Amino acid sequence: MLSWSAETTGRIWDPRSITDPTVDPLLDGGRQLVAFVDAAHGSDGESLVAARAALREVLGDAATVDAAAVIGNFNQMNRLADATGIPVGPGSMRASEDLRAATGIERFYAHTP
Amino acid sequence: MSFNFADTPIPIRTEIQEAMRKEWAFLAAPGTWWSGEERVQIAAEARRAMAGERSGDELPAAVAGVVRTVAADSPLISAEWVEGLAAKGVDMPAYAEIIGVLARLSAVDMFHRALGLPLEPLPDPEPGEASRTPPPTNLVFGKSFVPMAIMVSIPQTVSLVPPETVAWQELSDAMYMTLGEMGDPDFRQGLHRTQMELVAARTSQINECFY
Repeated sequence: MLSWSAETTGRIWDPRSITDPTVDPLLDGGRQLVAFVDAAHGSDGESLVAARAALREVLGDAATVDAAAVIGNFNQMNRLADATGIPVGPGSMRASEDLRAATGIERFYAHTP
Repeated sequence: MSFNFADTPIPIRTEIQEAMRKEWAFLAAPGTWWSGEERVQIAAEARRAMAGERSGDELPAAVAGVVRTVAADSPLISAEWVEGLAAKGVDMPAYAEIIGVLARLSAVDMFHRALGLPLEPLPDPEPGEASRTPPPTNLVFGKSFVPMAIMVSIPQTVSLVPPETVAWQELSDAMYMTLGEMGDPDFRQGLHRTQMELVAARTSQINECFY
């Protein structure tokens, strides 16, 4: 979905930023978004406060709320996938070949059937 | 009123507020395989597991164990583990309902956590028994741990319990986007679609979810 949206709308982005937070995603507010996601899943409350403040400053309140909503929604999606063992379809596997190679997320495939 | 965001430092979209209130009402009501009281107990047990707290004593120990695994230990879940649930008194449809309840709870709780808001207190359960409506008959196992509709996608994961699928859809529509909006690569609310997908991908990476 990320590759598709970026390519279709002419946005440049770096897929390595998904797995390496030191890599600039190259999207508006990309660094702040990644830092916010990381802090929301961490245990350091002060880091989360700082990451949220940085995101609000760069992208604004509506964007920050949407980022929190997407984080929540994908925790839901991840839980549904993990608990039911839903397989990735062959079409999605083909479409994501380059992205999987760039990010190294193949290693998580061990958890799926 | 639940989810009163009046004093929240950041304005919360009305759609999100309404979807979360609806979710809490659904959580508290009798489900298909669990009563309202049991569904709220399942949510409470999940919160304890996520917080690293000891199990409560409301649910049977075997059920609490299933809840805690789904909530906080998902790498332990495998086809063999799911097959063994019936011996613990949790058959497939009842397991699917647990997954649905916990998945939506994680969405609501992570939203609050990310925005620095206190967790919403769980609702008071509504009286009544579970409906025990039989699952649809057109489901298949495929390669998944539980039977689901043949068109494999996230909305179908809990298709053993159709009301859980509907509840997922309503919450996801508000917190992410509707199925219709998913076809638009240029969709924008507070974030542009590409930014939303960056957040989604990084979240799934942290959760080590390949799907």
